[in-house]
Amino acid sequence: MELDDIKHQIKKELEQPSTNLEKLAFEKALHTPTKSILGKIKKSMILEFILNIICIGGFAYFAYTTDHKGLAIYLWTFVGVGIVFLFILSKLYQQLLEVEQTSGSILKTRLEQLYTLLRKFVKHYFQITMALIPICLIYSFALGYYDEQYQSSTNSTTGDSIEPYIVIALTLAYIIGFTLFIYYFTKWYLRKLYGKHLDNLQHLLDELTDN
Amino acid sequence: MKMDSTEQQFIQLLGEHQKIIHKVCNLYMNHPLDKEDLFQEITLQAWKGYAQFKGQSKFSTWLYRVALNTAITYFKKERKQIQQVDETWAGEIADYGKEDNEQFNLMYKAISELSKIDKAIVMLYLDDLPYQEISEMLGISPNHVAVKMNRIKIKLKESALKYSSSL
Repeated sequence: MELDDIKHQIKKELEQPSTNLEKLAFEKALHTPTKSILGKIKKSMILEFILNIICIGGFAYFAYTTDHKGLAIYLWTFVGVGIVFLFILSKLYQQLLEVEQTSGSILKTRLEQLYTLLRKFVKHYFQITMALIPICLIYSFALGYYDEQYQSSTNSTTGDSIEPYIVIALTLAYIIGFTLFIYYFTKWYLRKLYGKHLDNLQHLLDELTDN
Repeated sequence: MKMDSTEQQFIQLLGEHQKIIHKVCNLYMNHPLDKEDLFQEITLQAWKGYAQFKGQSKFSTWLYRVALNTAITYFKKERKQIQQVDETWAGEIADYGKEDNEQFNLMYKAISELSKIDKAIVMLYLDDLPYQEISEMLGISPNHVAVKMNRIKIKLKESALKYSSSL
């Protein structure tokens, strides 16, 4: 049997009501939360916005009130990074709202839009997290080195007992361990949240354009 | 809940063209609850994009695009199919002859196992849309649509044969 032989029966069958419309009024559907991938990214972005603003506010407050100059510089740097991240997020959010309104675009365009947006979000998220690693490490070591109180306390307790090469080895191990952990954890986290969606979108695009 | 005139106009249009949404939901989902979810999602996505609908194309064409775009990019995990659905569905098509019914079942099953993109092409084909129009909806050339449709027909025939021999 060919598809054309029962074309009309299948069409008729597909047109059967898929849901109970009395229960599922259109008006109600207009005000229900979305379950789309765009909705998921939107939620993540809003959460990032809120957390970022809280962090910026908190860091700025502590940086302003602390007596430690080094710590103040450290916190102000994070405030700066946070503001850059807010700027990137707002740009992406704007793009997301634009994409959201073009739900009736051509399928290929729609898939490309979603893929590009999701990829950009994941890429920027990863880049910002990676950029924080050297900032964290450099500032924490600089702080530890220059802070007088820290230096005097280390001199009085462990100054003569630890060989310099052990300190260097431990420091290097810490830097490598910390960097690797953050690198792989971020990769895993982003992959878990968005990896499957990216793969699906890529697969759909490949299938659509495959000759 | 008070509705403004745009919302009322939109709901009226949606009501007139609801068959399009039902078709997409029936084609892409098996479980009634998944169908409801997808129905809601299509309605919502259509509403979000309605402001951008300037009337350059027919409302039905635009709604087809929204419905297919939403269904194809809907990655929510599906619930397991329950037996009762098949029975209800079988009852609805009982007015066909027994043999036709069986053939219909086989073909329907074969369609339900197609990929998301192939399902979209089949649905538009069943609506007798010319390849040119299908290609405009999908963003690929009419020749490409024709090639894909030929492959799908072969695939469906083979699947239906396979299922009938395993009965």
